[in-house]
Amino acid sequence: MLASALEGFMPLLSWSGLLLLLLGTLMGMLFGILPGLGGPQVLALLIPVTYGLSPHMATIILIGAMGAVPFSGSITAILINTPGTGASAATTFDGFPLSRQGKAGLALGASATASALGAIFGAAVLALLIPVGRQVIMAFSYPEFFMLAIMGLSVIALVSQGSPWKSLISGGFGLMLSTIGSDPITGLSRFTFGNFYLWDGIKPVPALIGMFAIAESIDLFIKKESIAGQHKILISGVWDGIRSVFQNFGVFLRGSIIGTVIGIIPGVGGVVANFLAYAQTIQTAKDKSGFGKGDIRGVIAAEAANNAKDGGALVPTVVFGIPGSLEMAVLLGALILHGLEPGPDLLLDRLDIIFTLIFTLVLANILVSVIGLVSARQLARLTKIPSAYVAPVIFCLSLIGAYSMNNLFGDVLVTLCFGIFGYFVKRLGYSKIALVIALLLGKIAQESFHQTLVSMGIKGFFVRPISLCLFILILVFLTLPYLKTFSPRQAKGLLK
Amino acid sequence: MKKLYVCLIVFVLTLGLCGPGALTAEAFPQKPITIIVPFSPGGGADTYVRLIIPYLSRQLDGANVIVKNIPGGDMITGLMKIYRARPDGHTLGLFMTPGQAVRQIVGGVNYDLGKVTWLGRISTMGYIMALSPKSKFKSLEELQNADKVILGVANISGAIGTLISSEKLKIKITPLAHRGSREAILAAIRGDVDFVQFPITTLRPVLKAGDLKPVLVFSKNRLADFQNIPTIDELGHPTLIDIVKIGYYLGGPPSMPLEITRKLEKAVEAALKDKELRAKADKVKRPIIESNAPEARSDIHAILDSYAPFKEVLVKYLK
Repeated sequence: MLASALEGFMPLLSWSGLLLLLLGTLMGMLFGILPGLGGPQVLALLIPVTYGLSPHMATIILIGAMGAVPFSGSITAILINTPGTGASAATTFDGFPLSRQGKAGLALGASATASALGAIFGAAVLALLIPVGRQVIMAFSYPEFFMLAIMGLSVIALVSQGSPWKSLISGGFGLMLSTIGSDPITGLSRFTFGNFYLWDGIKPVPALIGMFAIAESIDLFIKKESIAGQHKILISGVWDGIRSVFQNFGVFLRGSIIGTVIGIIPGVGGVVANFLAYAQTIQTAKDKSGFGKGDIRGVIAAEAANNAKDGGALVPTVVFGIPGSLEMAVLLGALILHGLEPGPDLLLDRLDIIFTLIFTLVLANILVSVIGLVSARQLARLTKIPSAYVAPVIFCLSLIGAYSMNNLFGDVLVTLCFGIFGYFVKRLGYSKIALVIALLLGKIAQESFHQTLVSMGIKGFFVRPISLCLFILILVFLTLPYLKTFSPRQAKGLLK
Repeated sequence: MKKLYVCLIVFVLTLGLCGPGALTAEAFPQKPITIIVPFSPGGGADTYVRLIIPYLSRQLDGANVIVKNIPGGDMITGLMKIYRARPDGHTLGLFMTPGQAVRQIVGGVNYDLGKVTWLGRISTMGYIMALSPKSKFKSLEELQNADKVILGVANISGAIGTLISSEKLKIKITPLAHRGSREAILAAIRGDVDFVQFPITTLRPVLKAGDLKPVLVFSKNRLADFQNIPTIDELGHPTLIDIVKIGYYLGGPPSMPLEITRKLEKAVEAALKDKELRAKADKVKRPIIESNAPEARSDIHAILDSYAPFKEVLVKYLK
């Protein structure tokens, strides 16, 4: 094992290895920053580049790119309220309010640190878990998927600012939107009006880009001020950001654990990870008043989970040859082109490749975080650029990103519609966050609910230990705030 | 001055004549050739295309060949992009049976696979039926005698061969859809569905690892690495061999110019016969089982004919 680890690390020490790592990381950063584009796209683009490389070198450039995407996506999430994918959506909840207060440096510092450490955590767990990864994967089935999705949905109750009714209405509307398209189980088309594009439903990424980036650029344009407005940019913020991760180490650790565990479970994905990490941070925090308005703990939890999940997602890819996410599916395809068939055989024959993979993931994350930290001050200045320059650029990049994701014009239309819609949702005081959470998780919830009914019947939810535990946790989640306010004195009053 | 005008007019006219109309096989390709894959990157079909591309490019004198993934709409969004592309040979695509053929038979779509300009078949392979080791059913007979058997499928249109074969084998199935074949296979390993039926290459790794138990092969002869598993032919259903199989084809939009078609047909055939490619494909267990353009064309017609009698079964599950 140690010999394989060493053999896997050696390629990273060569000049070509380092160069490819840097190249991959920079490509990953570029794709991560562009809205809509991310891991799958950069990997698909790099595959032809790897044709002439050895399997080790190919792994380095591919994983390097993949590892750089999440944090780069968070940069735009924090600075311009544009999460590249659903996986960094929760970063915007507190990251962007911080930018508006002129504290982009603080948010970026915390994000970079939590990202790098989260990735290291995930990779360490991956290395340790390979022997028992199988059991973990097998323990989660449809009822557990359902409960995790519902747990994510229960976040809506926590993130609601202002009227809870408006949050519920937004969430309900998001759930309704998630029912558009072919039924995930029966294949029946619902609300598609004979349009093939709608067979796949409202895709989360164009909707996200619209709701956040386009809506934000409209808002900026109308308000005619820069993102940070009249706030002064705090230069010292970056160091405070780094320090904040260590001051809130418990928040970071819990976020990382949630990210890794969710990453391991194929079929749930990173979308749930960052919401759950965010939710539990609010749950366990004593002072909840700042969340959604710029609490650094919200950024730390979401970022730790977002990066730790990649290590987790490699577990099913390596152990079963079953990818935990779309990125992993592309990576799997690339490895196959290099004559490596991921799965049990790879684990036995080419452990060195797996170690190259783990080391590269860690190094790429550290590299991108360092680049992020070094440039954080400059990046933070972006929030001071007048809206007349920033708004059109965000608008254009968002539309280009939406199109180049799948080369479909329909995606651009969805992005535009959700942009205009998102602008009014915000203006009228409804919750964008609730709507997005419901849209993202609605499909997983209905799919796994139906699958449980067919495969195990309704009892499936309650006879399986993990599912039952999750169910009880959800109940506690939702009732705890009421139980707390329900003081003994009130109870006496009721008894009288 | 007048001369200059005339000169200019002639120049423009010649340019016009040399335009798209005068595109000849020698001048082809004039720009990168795009192969549209109607899936997200990473799946089995996508991997096949990416394996082949360098060799196809070599056959076309180093022309730039690129993959464009257009997923969604149960493979129809991508298919329509190919079907409606300008038929100049610069836009080609990957086609897959049975899914796309089934959709055509059920109706409600605007394409006819019979009209596609077929360039060749990349591969085809039969399915294998695999039982979950955790299922209470331990053999094909037990499946046939059961009142309710849960079958894990990826999506209904792709699983149509399995639905037909289950009807023929008198297995009372309840199909349960998943996001993809991998999720369905994982469900079978966990024991949440009783059995799955997928192409041999897809299932081989989990069968070798002992995670699932092979019961039946949909091919004429027994497989070299699963010698003790009976074939569907031995069970007396030889017609099912052609129904329960998957096919990957390369084609272009209808009515492509003949000269360009011939050039592409030749390039595809030569690329697929390349020894280096075949060795590489065998190594990653994605064998090339090619056929040339005329054979591919008759293949497709045969597939459309063989599913036509099952229209009722298809409509039952798809509408």
